[in-house]
Amino acid sequence: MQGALTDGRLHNTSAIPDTLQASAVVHRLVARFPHVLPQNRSLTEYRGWIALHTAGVTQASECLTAEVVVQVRCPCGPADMQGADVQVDAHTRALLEQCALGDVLPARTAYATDLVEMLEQVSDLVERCRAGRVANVAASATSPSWTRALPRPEYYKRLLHDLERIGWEHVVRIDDAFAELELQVPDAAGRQHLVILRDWHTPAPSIHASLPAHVPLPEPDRSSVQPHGISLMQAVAQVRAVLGAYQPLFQVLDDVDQHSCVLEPERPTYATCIRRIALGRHCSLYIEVDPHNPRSVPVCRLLGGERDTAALQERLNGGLHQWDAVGRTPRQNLEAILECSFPPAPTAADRLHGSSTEGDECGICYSYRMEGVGVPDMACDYAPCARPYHRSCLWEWLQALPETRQSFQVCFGVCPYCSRPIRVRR
Amino acid sequence: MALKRISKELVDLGKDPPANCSAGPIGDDLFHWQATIIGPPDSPYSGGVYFLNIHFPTDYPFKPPKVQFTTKIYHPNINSNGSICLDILRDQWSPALTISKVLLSICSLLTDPNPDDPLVPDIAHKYKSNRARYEEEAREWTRRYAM
Repeated sequence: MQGALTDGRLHNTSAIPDTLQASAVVHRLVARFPHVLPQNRSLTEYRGWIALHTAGVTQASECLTAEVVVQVRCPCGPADMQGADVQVDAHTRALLEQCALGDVLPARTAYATDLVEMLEQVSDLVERCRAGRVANVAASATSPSWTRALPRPEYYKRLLHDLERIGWEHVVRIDDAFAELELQVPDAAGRQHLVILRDWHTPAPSIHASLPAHVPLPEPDRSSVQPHGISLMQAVAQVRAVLGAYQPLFQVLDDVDQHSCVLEPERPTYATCIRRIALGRHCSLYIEVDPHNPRSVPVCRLLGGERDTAALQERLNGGLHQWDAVGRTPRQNLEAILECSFPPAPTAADRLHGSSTEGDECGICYSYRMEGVGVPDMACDYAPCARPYHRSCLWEWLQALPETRQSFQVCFGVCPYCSRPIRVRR
Repeated sequence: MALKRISKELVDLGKDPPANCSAGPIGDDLFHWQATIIGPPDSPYSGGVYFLNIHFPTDYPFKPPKVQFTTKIYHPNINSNGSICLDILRDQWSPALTISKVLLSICSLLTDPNPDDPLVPDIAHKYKSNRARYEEEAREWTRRYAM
């Protein structure tokens, strides 16, 4: 790839006399960067400083000077950046490291076709760091100054080549700019994971997958023509490695999702280790699995009417020492400790007849899952009633009644259905 | 929230319709319904068909629905505007009630008027002092306005 690139350049430059091109670049250099001067007659070495115009951001970083000291060596002259090397002063280098962009400078300058463009890249990158705009990489991709540095044709050529190698059957979607790619990556157990590569045309791309932690970028390959030096194969290999590490977690979560009725999240994914499992009789169990040690005891909390949860809580408190992290899955452990089997998720037919969720909807708004509120999170304590409510619905109703007493954040009133005392915390 | 609850009530009405009543939205506005009540057989309203307008407030079910007769009726608790004097439509409202339960309560109010909390004192007085005269008048109104 690199070879083809330089061939093209040599061919181009041979069309016009070298010296003419070089002097044109030097003219532009003087106009744009007047403080960077050639150090020899053959125009292969430059030294000087680039003035920055990010005013008003210096108060946070008074140690920074207003300019960047640069030293450039370009053995093929100012019009050909092959083998060129740019050095910046220690302050600037420290700043780039701070913003985790130390590696990006060589990657970006490798794109420049001549000296002026190379210095523009240096200036742009440092200004970005100083303005603190680098924190959000997505923003940098859309900022107008970035459009000057659209990917070179080689980027697309390489991307297509990489896609061929990965196989088009794994590609879910590619956006118009070839900057965002969605790939389907199978793990060792055959589960398909959707992986999204964002800002792939920028020096600071990101890899997203539905996992509890974000996927770190693989080590860049300096010889690659990609702005970030990462090939798609590397990215996929990285994702596979991370997926491999999470296999035990996937097994635990799959076990929960397949053998119980998960109330929350509505559509469980591997991105969250939290599950709320229906226990029946308006009780539910909230668990939070440790992603790094999924078979260990999760964080557990019982939700529902006090009368019903009290006995379960006692069993949970008394039985946790029997936890068997090796022989049983966490779901099996919890079932054994709570001495019950989790009711299965309602099938499509159940949902159609509304039989399974009929009794679980809020007694006030008549809905089960309410936008912004969730599912009913409390129930009347009187066992024969046990009407479930959204805390917010019951609060709103009791608030409107003259006979309701309120003490701090707790309302004391009566259940609208059985008229027994009920209390709700805001 | 109100919309969801109202549409749920509409579905439930279709699944399990109350005796002698029917109700449903007028046009596309789910907050505005029309209901019909068939005069209970053991009352002087027997044989009549009564139409009612139902308006759901936007904060339903925290506030009761507004229910009004559009058919004229001779009743101690229903005035000439069609307004109904019924505790569950005022201070005894609860979100545990539904439009179906409200309509059934109105049906039983037709069978058993409550002359001690009247909206039309003249009719209440007649009901208490001369029941036969009241029933005759009520039957006459039913014939004239509800058949």
